[in-house]
Amino acid sequence: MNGQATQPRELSCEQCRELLSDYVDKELAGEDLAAVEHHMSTCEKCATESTRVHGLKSIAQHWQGVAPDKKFHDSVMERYITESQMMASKPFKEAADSQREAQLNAAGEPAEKPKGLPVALVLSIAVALAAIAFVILKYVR
Amino acid sequence: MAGEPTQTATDEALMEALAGGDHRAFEELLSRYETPVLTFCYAFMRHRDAAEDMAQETFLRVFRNARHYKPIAKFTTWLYKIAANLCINELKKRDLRKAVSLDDPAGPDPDGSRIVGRIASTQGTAPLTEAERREAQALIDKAIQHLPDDQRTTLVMVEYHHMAYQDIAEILGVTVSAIKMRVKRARETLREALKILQVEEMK
Repeated sequence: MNGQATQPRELSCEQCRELLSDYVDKELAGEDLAAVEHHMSTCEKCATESTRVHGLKSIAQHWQGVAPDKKFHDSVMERYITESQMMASKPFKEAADSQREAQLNAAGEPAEKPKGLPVALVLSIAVALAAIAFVILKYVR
Repeated sequence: MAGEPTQTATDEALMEALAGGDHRAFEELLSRYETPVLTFCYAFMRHRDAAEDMAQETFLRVFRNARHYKPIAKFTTWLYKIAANLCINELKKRDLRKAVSLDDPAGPDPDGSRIVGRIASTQGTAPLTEAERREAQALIDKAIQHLPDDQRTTLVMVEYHHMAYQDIAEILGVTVSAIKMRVKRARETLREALKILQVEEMK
């Protein structure tokens, strides 16, 4: 290791100018960036051209586009509300159902009564009646 | 997102809330992005009414697809991809591609040219009055509208939306090399347009 820094590669003016657009947009890195900066440090013409490209960038950045007005904003919101209602609001409905269930659980009420209880009661009564009928028939005869 | 103020929520959190039926989330997304999305669409369509149609449809598609949205890539990449696809498909249907002439029936605008020249020579650092800003905007808009579609839209994404080349490439479905070429050509075309518009610093 001799400790010497690696020299940036040499560029021609044409090569440098090909990279200037990427350079002003900070899209160059590593060797390319080092090469362009090195070339411009020794070439006044390319340094001047870089200034011109920066100038063009500044001009383009002053373009303000278009600003939305309240009418646009309200129009989008209106269409959104209409569409969300027309979609049967499934996620809205699911969210509402989920919220209702959570409220019921928090109040300690079961969400549903168990369905098995009435059936078991009826069966028990039937068995009891059958047993009574059997005993009666056995001792009457 | 329950309880989290919408203004500080991330885009991804807002999308999750929107998928769950939160109207406030949609309104926040709209407020956050209506200006850049409308401008994005304007760069494609070059007409305000058409741009508003595309921007409105973009936000509605965001809503319709909220439940399927997965935050794999940046939200803005997904958002602008929707807008770009809508605009590109619509441009194929409509005849909006007529080149904008740089000729002005009212004649040249020496004040506007001078102000734009000052922006270039000071690299945007010179302070401008509101009136100067309006003059400059009119001239710059004319020059930008003169650019071909792919150069104009790409340059706007770089300079107005401050997007990296990689993101632009992903949104437009082209290579980074293609984006580099478009930006370079856009600046060359812009320079020629500004020369025609009598901006001295471009000569």
